[in-house]
Amino acid sequence: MTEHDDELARLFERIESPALDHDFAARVSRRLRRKRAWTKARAIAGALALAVVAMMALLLVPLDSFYPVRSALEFMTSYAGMVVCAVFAIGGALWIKLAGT
Amino acid sequence: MTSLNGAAEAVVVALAANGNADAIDELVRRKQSGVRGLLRTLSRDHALADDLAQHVFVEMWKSLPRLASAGAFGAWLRRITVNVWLQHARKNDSTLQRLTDPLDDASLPMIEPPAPGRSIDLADALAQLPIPARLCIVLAYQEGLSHADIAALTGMPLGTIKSHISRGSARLRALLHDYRSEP
Repeated sequence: MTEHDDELARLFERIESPALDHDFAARVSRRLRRKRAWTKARAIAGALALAVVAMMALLLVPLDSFYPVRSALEFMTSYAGMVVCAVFAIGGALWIKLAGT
Repeated sequence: MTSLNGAAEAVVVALAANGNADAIDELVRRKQSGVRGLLRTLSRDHALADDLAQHVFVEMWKSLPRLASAGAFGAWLRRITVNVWLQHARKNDSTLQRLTDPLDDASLPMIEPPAPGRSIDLADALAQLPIPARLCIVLAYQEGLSHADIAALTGMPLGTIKSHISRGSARLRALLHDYRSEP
């Protein structure tokens, strides 16, 4: 320990580390258990809140508001929609291939 | 006591990082002495040190899933310990903002001499040092860290650490010499 002062080093060596304290370990364990329970409770409460908001939206928001989404889904599942998807997929693949060369 | 009592530290750390409550309890049991000892020397107040140590282990529990390597656990926990103590010290000392600020003589506190006839011990003398110097000296002498390790741990430049240790050691020696208990 060339970086250190020997006299001080001896004084520090005399410092005793605290003995294993089971009460301390138990206190930390209890505190962590409470924190774990709290974290779990918050996650459950968050999921429940989301579910309630979704249910409220379905019950309270007029169905007409969902019209654009519903009509888009209907179009995508029709023959015309499938053709449009296929054309876009082929066009996209060609564009990527051409852009890469 | 758990079945993890004799398990290798890397195994316990890996289990704890995956949220195993028994492994976390085992780490607390294994590391509490070192963490509390370091905080007791830094703060000189055993009750405060134990409160801060609890906070260290809560931080450990929160951050363990992000620990990159189980082998680095000891140094990582020491870093948390030092950070928790510095946070506490900053709350009580508004002038302590950054450890990397250069050391000047004005940063050395005015030392109040002990009452006549009263001796001073290492803990008393350490408490008279400015916080950055105290931290560097305790990490060097009690934890056995090299100057480079202290630089990596605290983010202080190597030159600043050498200066803190050199001047802090001189101050400690002077204090211990002036108020030695021997007649």
